Amino acid sequence: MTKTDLFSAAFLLFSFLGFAQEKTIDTVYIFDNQLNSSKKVQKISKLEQADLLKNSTNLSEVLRFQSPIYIKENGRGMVSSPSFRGTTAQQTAFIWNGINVNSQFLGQGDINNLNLLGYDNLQVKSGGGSVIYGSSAIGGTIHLNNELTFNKGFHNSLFAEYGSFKTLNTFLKSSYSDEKISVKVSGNYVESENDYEVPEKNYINLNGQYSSKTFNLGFGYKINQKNTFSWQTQLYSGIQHYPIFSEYATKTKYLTNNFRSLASWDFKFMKVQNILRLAFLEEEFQYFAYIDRPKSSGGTGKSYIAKNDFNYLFNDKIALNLIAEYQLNKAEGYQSGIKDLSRNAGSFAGLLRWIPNQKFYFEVGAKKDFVENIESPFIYSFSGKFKATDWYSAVFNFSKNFRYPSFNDLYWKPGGNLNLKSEVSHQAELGNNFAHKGFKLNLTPYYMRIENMIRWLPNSVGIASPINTSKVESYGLESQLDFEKSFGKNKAKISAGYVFTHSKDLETHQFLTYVPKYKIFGNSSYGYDFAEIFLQGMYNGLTFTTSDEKLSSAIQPYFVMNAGLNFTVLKIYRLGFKVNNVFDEIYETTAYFPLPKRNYSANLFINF
Amino acid sequence: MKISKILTLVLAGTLLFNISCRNDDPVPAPTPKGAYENGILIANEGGFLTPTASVSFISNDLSKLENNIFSTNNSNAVLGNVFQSVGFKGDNAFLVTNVPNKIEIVNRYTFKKTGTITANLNEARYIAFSGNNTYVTNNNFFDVRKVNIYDNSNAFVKSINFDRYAEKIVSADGFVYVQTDGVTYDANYNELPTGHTISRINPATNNVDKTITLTDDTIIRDMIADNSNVYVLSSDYSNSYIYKIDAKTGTAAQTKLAGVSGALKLAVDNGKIYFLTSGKKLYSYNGTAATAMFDVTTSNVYGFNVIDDKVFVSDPSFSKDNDVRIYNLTGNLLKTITTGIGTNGFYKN
Repeated sequence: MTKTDLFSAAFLLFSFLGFAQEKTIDTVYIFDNQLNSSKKVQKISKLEQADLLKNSTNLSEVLRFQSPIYIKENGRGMVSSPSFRGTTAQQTAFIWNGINVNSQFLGQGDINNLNLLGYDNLQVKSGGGSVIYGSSAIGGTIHLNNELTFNKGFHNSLFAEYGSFKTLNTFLKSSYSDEKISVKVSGNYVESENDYEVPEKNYINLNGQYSSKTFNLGFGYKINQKNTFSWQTQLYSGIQHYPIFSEYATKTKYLTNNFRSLASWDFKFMKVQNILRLAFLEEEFQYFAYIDRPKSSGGTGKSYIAKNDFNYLFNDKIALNLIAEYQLNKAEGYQSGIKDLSRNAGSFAGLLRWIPNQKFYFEVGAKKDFVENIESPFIYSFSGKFKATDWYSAVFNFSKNFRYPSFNDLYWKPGGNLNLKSEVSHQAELGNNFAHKGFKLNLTPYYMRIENMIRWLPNSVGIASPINTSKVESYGLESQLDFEKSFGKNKAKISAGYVFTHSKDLETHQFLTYVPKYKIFGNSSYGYDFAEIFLQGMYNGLTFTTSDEKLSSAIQPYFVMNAGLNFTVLKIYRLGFKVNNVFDEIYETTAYFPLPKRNYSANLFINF
Repeated sequence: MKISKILTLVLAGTLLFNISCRNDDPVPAPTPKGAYENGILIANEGGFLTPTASVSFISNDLSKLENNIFSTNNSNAVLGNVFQSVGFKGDNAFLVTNVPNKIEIVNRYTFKKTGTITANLNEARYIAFSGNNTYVTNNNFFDVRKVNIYDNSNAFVKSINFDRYAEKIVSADGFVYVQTDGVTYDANYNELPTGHTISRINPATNNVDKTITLTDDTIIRDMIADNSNVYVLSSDYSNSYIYKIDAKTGTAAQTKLAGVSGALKLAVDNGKIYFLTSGKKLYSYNGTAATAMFDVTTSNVYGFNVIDDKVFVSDPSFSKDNDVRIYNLTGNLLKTITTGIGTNGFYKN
């Protein structure tokens, strides 16, 4: 039986389950239950579907224009990786419905293969989170969430967009829910010829086409007052041709297939809340050094995860949260030396939450991971919140976080090093939140030190091999100003962020590559009745691309602006137009890979 | 005044005039052929994933260094991602790139582009010339190991396929020699020799007319040539060997370099042979024995040559510009220069 068969069969089975009528209030179920507690002490910005659709091309664009993260993209829609608070790509964790989905092989999330249009919202959490979210949650975490709603009846939405470089972005989402059952199915298809040109840079994006399709299924069933069963599954497949710099270069391509499935049983009674989750993740990639020949390398990774999240309320002031997790990771590589790997990993975490009075909130967390054959540290977190007045509150976090070596770090041939230790980070931050009338201001300075950083360096015989070598010190400021106001048929919304990052290798005393010192991003929209106009702007400061701070190789500062118009017609139809890169800025996020100049798209969004 | 005196004066004047005239005549004083005539070309491989391959130039007296000379002289043209080697034919330099599959032909003194070869290239490695023909090795370390032959107008003539390898290629005394074995790896990535052969192409027929099998069991590392001999270096991490092949007869003579481990790179300069080991030790070789000279400073052995009694050693990095250290023959560091990314070769221009 193939994956798809299994999937369809299970779907049918659940469709036959009872439809007993029992009146409950309508609620929204999110899989990532811990996000709500984290929100109290960490900076989380939430992007709703409407925000995501403003940068419908890919997740890289969303994060570039609407978050403090630096996104390094090898040409539009291609290989893309994050740098959060001056850290490396492996130090940001991507969390799919509460489950860490960074690649077992690379230790990082492949942003443009994480799919964008299938989620209900996206949350960006700044700062460490290893106690709850595990390895790689050092600079921050990016949460890709699906939701299940109850008591909402039938709802469908269809989105279709066509734009420059023969780009098509589409999705169809259907949901049905009553008091007990919620089903949500969505599919999306994306493709682009992506043959943009930047004549000023002598650049044509040759062989840059991509396409992907995703299928998501969510199912929720409220068994009774105490028990809820939920299930979320994603099937993704994508093809990226990698751009070449010359018509005489050999064309390559990269295929990705991911399957993720998560079942959750939530039990809630009196003072006890328990959530048991079982998840299966499968990642597969194939690289073709010659586009029309058999694959030259590849790998398949599977993770079987069981996780139990138990929360006990002693009273309305103190709660204890115990999280136990077991994972079995399996990997099989092709032409990489990774053969028939199997690894057991487990962890125990405990969090104590205390609300002494209305002004204070405290949280203490501790965790120990047990990863087969890898030394992993005991980690912890301390958080506190102080609500001084109606208009000011402060949060404090201190935490120790880690990343354990990926399968490639350990087993890649040649070079893999079985003696690697986990990377460890200590960090502290002080968040200041101001609120006045429609304004909200957040100022969060932070300090972070990372030790045992894994880096691939040539060994004595010239073969690159990873070792725990570097120490990195990062500090900076994240700030964000939000304003929202409605009056009559008018609705205005502004959000602007300023980010300062200082991130240095303490051994070489050089700045880390691909970490801009300054980033400013802003989003604003103004709506009147059926019409809405929006503007996005992003300024990125000087960014070094070589480890010797070479100025002539650095990416010069740039400012990119996007604009769009939306019209709602007959309630359910929304017609949208967008101009990306209005000012025709010539810019790169990875050296030598310019991103497109001014380009256009039109879309139709139907909700019925 | 006596007429004789006047005559003497006239004579003297004529003489003077003549002398001055002769001085005005174009004495064949060397007119410069271009800015890059008296110096060394340096190949910077590039970062593989980025089009950062470049060429640097340093004058013979080491006083003048210029980076990026290919781009600068060709309206910012991109050389490529992986720059493998340089060959010279007449006034032209052939710049062999592995990614993309092309050879840029430039005037070696001005670096202005004069042509491009792309036909049938598949991960080109090294280049040699004999008679009117150009010979280029191609090796994708998978299923292509061949020598491509191009004629005087750079049109493709034919390919000669080899079973296991096609790496270094040299021309000496009317023959072309190809390194047709090298290194491979076992399942645990230990180095193994693919075999022990050097093949000879006869340019008169453009066919292989001789295969020389070396008589040790280590890995062939390098091959160079002077006018009449081909030198092959092979080694493992306990022993090293040098073979001197008489180019005309194809007979090889082996020297076992007792106690020398991991010799990797060969150089020939002013009739002397030098080699550098994985332990960063420089040796000279006199035809029968090797003499240790001094240790060089680098993270690992990559670009190396000896030109006019100066030893050039790159300190390789593929994420930033490289340091190149230049020593004299007694081991004094003359100069450290900063070139481009992945410096892999030095060529006397």
